[in-house]
Amino acid sequence: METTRHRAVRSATSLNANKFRRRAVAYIYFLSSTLLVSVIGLSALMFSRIQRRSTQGSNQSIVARFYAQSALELGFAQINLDSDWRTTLSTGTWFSAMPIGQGSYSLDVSIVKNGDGNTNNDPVLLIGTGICGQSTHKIEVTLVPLSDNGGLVISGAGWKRNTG
Amino acid sequence: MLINARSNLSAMRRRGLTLLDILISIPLVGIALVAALNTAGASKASQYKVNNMRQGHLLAQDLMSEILQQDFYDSIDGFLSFGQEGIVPITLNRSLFDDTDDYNLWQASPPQYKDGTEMSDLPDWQRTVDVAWRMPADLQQISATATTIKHIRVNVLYKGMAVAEIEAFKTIGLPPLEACCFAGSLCENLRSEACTLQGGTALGTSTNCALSACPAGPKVLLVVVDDTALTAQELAQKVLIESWDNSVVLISASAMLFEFDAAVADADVAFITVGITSSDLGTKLTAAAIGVVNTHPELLYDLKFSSGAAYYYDLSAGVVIDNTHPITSTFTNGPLTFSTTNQWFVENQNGLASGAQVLAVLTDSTRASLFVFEAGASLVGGTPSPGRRVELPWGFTDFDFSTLTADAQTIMKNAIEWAAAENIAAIAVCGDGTCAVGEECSCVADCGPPTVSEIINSTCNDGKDNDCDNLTDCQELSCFLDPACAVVCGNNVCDNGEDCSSCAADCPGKTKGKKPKRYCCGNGIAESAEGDGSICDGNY
Repeated sequence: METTRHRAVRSATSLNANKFRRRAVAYIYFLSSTLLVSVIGLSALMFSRIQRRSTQGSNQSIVARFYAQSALELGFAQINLDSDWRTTLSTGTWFSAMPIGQGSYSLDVSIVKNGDGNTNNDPVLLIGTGICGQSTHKIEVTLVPLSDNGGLVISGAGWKRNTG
Repeated sequence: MLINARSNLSAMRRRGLTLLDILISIPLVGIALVAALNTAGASKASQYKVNNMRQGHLLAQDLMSEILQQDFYDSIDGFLSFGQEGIVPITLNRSLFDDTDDYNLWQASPPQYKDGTEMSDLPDWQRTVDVAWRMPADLQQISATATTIKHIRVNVLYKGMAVAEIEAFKTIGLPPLEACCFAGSLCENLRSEACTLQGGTALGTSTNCALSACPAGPKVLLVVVDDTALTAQELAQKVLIESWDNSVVLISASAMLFEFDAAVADADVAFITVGITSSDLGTKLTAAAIGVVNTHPELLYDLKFSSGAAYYYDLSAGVVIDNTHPITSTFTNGPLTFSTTNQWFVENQNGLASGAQVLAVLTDSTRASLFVFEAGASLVGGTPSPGRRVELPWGFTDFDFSTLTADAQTIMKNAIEWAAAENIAAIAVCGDGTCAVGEECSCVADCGPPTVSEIINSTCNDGKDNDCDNLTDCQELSCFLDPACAVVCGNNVCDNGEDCSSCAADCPGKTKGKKPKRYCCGNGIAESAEGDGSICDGNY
């Protein structure tokens, strides 16, 4: 009898231990799968946020390019309207952080010396900068005065564009 | 045994979840699942938004790039109008847009390609554009009048919600390209200064080679002694004539009459060089219907300019006595130096034909030296001149052309142009201030817009599009009741609305016989049996 009782007690203890183990395993399974779903969800969310940022960046870059182009257009117009622009407009920043749409544009102008001693014959470098959000787009254009074979200078006209 | 059985039952009971377990786990599972699904949903929604944003910006970028590529000026009326020009039919597509402001207020849903094809896979999308002048002094300010700057805004909407917006400025830019003409009617789009520097002639702003043909100089038939071996003087004359944008075709004076006739048919003016004698050329050009400019005195008789003699004088100047003529209009009446050194100059001594108009004489003389005949004017014997004729004062075999002054060269140039003018149709150059044939509806700058009268009272039988709406005569709504457009059976005209069955008297047809031989005028079908359409007078 003693032996039987002893066995029975031992058996109950063993059953209890098994029961708790199984329950714990179930909870662990549940918690793990929940964690997995959450991690996947959060990763997807994170991924889409990154993708969104990237798309936003690329969209802003597109917009910034148009702003930079606008800056150059305005620079061309200045040159067109003032035949004596080399004298009346100094080099440097012609426009700075001018607002447009959701950003701004700037234009910097500098003279590239060609070494022929005639300043009217020097090419002009225009750098248009467009900013939209975190994106900045720059376009460089070099305007080269056309001259005939004898080297005569045309001032303020006859330009060709070298886009950089 | 009993104890074992109880123990087994109890163990089985304890293996399941208790009510408490379930009560705790359900909210936990719920919270976790809701959170997980929210995360997945948010991720999906974000993805959707990102895709829309990208799509919207691509659509906006596409349209903005297209607009910025357009010219600032309208190719036809420049600054005159804003928006789609009256002569361009208001269209739903952009294929005819030729400047940036044509896009003002343009919108389409679904978006379209430039040719009007809809982007059928984007049904809920819409693109709109607005363009406005901006004040150069303050670019934020809209200007009601034309300025040098246009502001362009492209909006993209998805299901009515703004998704993307791009703004940009378009300006007059660098000095505009314009049509520049070079010798031989070659045309190149250049900026005006570059054109002048390269020896061309700029046709003016708002012109370009696609729209404005370079005026072609006269085609000159140059009569020389031997077209295979030009003398130095002949070569000098050829070079001089070509320098005025004329094209020169050579012919030997001894060529056969039929060769002259063929050459004359393809030329605007014949120029007889100084070395040509009567025995070489004779009367081969006397009946030519084109202009003839002569420099050799021996030919005065052959060309029926004069029945008398010509005298030579060793001089360098003459006197303009009539500057009302195009040849001498650039000079005042009075002395004019022809050559830098003394050369042989010619004057008609007597017997000048009555139709001659004398423009200049030689120094200390009153006899005709530079004279012209208008087409139809009386030549010797009263013969009407078949074309314009000019006699230049210089011309003897050893005349040195290198001594001709600039004034004398101008006279020679004017003489060639005047003599050839009858044979050259006016060249249509949009922007030259002349409304040439063919420009009526394509060049508002020269011809102006159609008048109210032209729009309301289109002429219904002149074969013209009077109001520039691409409709001619009876196609015009206003010509519906015009007698010229009346559908009358029996008037020997297969009118619109008639065919071989409704009016066989006017519209012939063959409805029986073998199928290839059947036709019916007026049915709108070009059938093989109608041949070139002449059976139906083109009215298929």
